[in-house]
Amino acid sequence: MPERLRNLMGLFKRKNGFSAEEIITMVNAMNENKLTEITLQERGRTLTIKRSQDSNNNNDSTITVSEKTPDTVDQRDKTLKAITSPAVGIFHLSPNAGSAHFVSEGQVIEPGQVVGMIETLKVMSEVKSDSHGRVASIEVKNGDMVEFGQTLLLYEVID
Amino acid sequence: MVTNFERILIANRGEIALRVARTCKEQGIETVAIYSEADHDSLHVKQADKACCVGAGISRDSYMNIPNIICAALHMECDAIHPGYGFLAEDSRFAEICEAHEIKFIGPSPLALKHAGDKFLMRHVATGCNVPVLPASDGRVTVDNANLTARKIGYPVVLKPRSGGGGLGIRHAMDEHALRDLLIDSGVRHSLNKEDYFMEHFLGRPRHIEVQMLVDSNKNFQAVGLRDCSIQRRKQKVIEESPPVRISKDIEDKLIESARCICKSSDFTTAGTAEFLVDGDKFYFLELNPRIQVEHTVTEMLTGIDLVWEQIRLAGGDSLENIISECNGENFPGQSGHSIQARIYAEPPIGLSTSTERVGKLRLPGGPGVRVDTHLYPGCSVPYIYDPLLVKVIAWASTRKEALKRLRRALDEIFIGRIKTNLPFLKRILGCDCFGKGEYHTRHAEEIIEADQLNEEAESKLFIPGNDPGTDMEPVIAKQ
Repeated sequence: MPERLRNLMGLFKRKNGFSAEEIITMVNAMNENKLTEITLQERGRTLTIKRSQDSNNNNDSTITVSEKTPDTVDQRDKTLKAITSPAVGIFHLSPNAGSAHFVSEGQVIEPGQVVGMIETLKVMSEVKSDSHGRVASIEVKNGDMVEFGQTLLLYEVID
Repeated sequence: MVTNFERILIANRGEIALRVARTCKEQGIETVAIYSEADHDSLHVKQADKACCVGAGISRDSYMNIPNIICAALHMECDAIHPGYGFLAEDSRFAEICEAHEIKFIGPSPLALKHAGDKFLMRHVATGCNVPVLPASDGRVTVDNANLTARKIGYPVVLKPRSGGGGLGIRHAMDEHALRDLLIDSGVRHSLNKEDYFMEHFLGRPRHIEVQMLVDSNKNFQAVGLRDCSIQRRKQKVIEESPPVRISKDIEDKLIESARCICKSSDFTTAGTAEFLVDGDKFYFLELNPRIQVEHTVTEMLTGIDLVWEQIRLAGGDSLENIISECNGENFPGQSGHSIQARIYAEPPIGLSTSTERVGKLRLPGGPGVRVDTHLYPGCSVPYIYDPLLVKVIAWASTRKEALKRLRRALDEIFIGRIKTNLPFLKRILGCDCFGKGEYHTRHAEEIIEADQLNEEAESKLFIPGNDPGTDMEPVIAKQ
């Protein structure tokens, strides 16, 4: 297993996805059997790993890891809850460009706390948390368009 | 000129969203569907190139949520919005907002929508064109002047909201007693005080005849045939046919000329319908519908013209001359034969009108001369919060008699599992003598139902055993 990939795996801190070990095992299985694509599907989670086509003989070939978002949060980790978008618009992680983000991964959030903003036709609406929890992951990039009901961030409920 | 729209957002759901998407697909235009949380598994979402959820189930939060829809159109880089029918199709404010964001609203100008939406103003437009209208109040009707006004214009009368329609806010009074009863109803009093209502005389048994129109931005006008939409139930059209039977050439020409003048005087452009009531050899202007209608399909079957595509072209600034030269040329609209449409509606059990049902088995008709427009598929959800229209079946044949046989045959082929529908009612009407002869009027369907309800035997015939409403078990037909 290339060191580079192992380091990359370190980025997967999410509770809901696949662990680094699982992904490494799958990549090893691909290498051993000379597979170009592998998909692991289980209840609530799907992982596809693809090797780029134009570099079959290159040991250092690119591997794309894509994880399909499950349909509902219930199917992921039961302890994670979602904050969804109340409108169609542009998602903002901070009140204005350059300023600090409302929240970051691992941060504790309180009921009523602003976690982001949605800009719909130049009108900003605040997205607030409705319970006490810890941010597990932010699911949308700053500046991305979101649709109604789209998951913006996932958090662990703290009782 | 070729329409230069590259991507159109379809601000609607159900069969009409699918209908618009189909034309766009044929013409190489990309489509963006919008949907509510109740419609995520809907066919119009699956068929579009892209989709955006715009809100919760109820229409005002989703299909009528202007900021979310405009925002979706902007970020998904749409150059036009097709509003379909219902929802925002006749909302002049929505058309204005589209214009402000440089998105083409596929329909007439905001001003023309304002005119068409003002029923009282449109009466004046018609009068200005020397088109007859039914006697009405001079202005706003109030609880105090209602009696006097009714006596002046003659019973029976109808109270109509000046703006808005769809037959929801309309109240009828057959005579003085009925009007007195209406006026002590707190709901009616509240409406009269709050909203701008006017009073109009109404006809007992008229026919509803309408002119399909195409109008370009230079106000060139072309009628694309007439339709008879007299078979109605609870103020909703259920069966439509084209051409109308027993309409003299003289009346037909007068209706078309009236429609032409009314369009010109009210700034109407693109595709729409002028509605008239016909009573013997007299006719009266009813209203102008500035949008594509549910029954446009009847005209499409008769002429072969894609009305949705012509509407898109006209909205994009194309000329009627171009359109005519490309569709049948001199013979435009080039209609032949006869077509009849039946609308299959869901009839949700009382008390369940906000729930969702899932279609079980589904069998749709086919064969020669039959067109089916529907958003249903086996297992799809039918949220009862929206318009209950499920399937449109249109039959075409070279004669009316054959078209009717064909439609009846097609309806016999249909099975929609687990959803209670109006199929028995449609079959009853299409099977009656009066419809066969083409002798019917706007009260016809309801009179038949009323007569049937008095006759229990007929009632049991209406609901054929094995075709129980709401079942997923197909009827077993004994074969010899």
